[in-house]
Amino acid sequence: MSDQKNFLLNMGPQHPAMHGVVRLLLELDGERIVQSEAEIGYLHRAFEKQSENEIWNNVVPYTDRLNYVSPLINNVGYCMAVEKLAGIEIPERGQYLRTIACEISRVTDHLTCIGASAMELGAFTVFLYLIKVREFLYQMVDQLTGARLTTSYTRVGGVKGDMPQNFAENLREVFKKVREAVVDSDKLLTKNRIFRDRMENVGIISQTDAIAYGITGPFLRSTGVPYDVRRANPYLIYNRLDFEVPVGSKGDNYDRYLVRMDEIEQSLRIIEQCLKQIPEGKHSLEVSEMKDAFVYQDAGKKGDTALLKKYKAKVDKTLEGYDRNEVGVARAANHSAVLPPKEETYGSIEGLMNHFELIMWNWGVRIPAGETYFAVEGGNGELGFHIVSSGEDRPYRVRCRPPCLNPMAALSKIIDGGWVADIIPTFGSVNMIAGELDR
Amino acid sequence: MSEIKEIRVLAAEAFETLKKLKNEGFNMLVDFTAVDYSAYSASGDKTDSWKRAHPLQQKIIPRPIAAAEGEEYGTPHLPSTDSLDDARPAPPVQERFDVVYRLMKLDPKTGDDLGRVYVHCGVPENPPVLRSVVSLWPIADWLEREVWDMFGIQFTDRPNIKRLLMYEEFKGHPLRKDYPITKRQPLIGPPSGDRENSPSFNIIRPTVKYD
Repeated sequence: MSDQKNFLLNMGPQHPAMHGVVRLLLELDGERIVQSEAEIGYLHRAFEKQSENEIWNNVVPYTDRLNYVSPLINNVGYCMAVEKLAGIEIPERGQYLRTIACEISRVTDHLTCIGASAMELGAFTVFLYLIKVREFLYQMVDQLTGARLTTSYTRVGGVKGDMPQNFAENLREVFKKVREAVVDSDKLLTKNRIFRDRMENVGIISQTDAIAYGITGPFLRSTGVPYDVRRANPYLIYNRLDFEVPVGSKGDNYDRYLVRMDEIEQSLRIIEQCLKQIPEGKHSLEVSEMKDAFVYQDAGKKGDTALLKKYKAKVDKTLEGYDRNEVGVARAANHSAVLPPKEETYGSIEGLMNHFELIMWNWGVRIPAGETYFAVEGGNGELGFHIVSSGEDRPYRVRCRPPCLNPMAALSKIIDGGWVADIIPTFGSVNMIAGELDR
Repeated sequence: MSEIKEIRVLAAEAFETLKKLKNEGFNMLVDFTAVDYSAYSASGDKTDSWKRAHPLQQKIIPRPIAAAEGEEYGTPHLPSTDSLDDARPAPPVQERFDVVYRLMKLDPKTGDDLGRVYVHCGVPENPPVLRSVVSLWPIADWLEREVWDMFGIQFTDRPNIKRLLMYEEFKGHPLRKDYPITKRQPLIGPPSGDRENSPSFNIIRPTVKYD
């Protein structure tokens, strides 16, 4: 049989067990994988190029489409990177709201990952349990942001709006259901012989390899490295919260499953603490109050210094020859970089004008020139945004560091030498999100 | 928060610096990317930028640079010299491209971030060549493929490079500033006569080796 050639198999781009469009090229010797390669880019939507041509706030809706299972974390990551560059810090209540939003998203991300990979191994019931409670969480996201998936919750300088009435109570009710579903799934999977046989000692990656490939998130933690951006470089208010960073030991699929299951509980704990601690007050920076120039001038004549100090002059922007860019409303250094709340926008002419000014092409927020990198803990690991501003009203460059690119790059190393059937659980535990991977 | 250090090195010394840093314990290459500074004008404040049309209605206006591209781009409409503002500050690099290596010293036991160093390195426009770091960190394989794909920066000392996100038949490098956002290309290239030997089809690249 020496003339027998290895078989070349294309798995994907369209395959029921591929979470999104990705193509795996496999060279097979029987059922064994001799060599493999992953090919990505089928969902490339030019996020980075498009961002260079949108004003700062208008990039937020594009970030929804990165990791579409946990869009809120992308919103927060992008806005925090911009705020870091502009030197803005948002009010405490806004930080708590962002934390709550992030953690809800992390739970939905993990629920989807576990549910989908369990379904691919035949545990359809678990999929239904988890996706059902995910839907309840999406309803809460809907109440908070106004959309299930395309949330666009954050703004540069704040969030879209405060929690609706009874949000905390409703959230606690949903958490009961989430916990029930997690316990049920735990009973169905964790000690299940079939599940463990498929997951244990499959898709092993060593600690050294994981670090060399720059892998972060649950994938790295399953190898025993407790690296979590929330703990290592705390942002928002994570240093005030009590939570654990679950780790595995072997770095196989089963460990990744356990880490994700534990993280769901930790995220729920974080949200409960946030709901207890959240202070009253403003959730976003205020749009600074502006008076017309003639009012300001009159006040000056009258000697009303209190008003002079309190307000900024607003100059009619239709004036010829006036340098419009000097208008204070477009400056990021003060608090006026923020979009007015939607109630204002639709409820008053001043709010509408203010919104329009900030949204209009070339009139928007101006972020000081410079460059920065900011990372948050996404559902799959370190989600970084590298932002370059040239001082204009739109980014000069936006780079997203997609956390699932690293395990995808390491995938062929993990699956080489294994069985074809093992690709399914391994690929499931990578939790590849094509929107984020291909951008 | 961990300590972040930013250093700037010459393209020729980048590899040696990175190797030294790796030996010092910076074991993770967190990110690697590039920025094209050819259209950079820090603070458009004083220019009459509000007169500019939305990019979907105009051609992108890069700062005039020596056209040394062998590849086909849409002809960028270069502005006349009098519309360029003299007071425009210079970009942070002399060269056209600036690449950034973001390294992290990760403690595998405690999971602590023991410090980061961001290595910036200017890459000239002609020729845009850098030495590859695949032998230090295997993730550089995909990241370098992406930088090649998006910016056209070439890498020496590494196995065969191919585009990461775009398809092989794609012409140009989309994140360069002189690639107009309105430019359209056929999504699937012209059918090549020999599909079997086309680089996009049925060739498995061997997994990268590293120290």
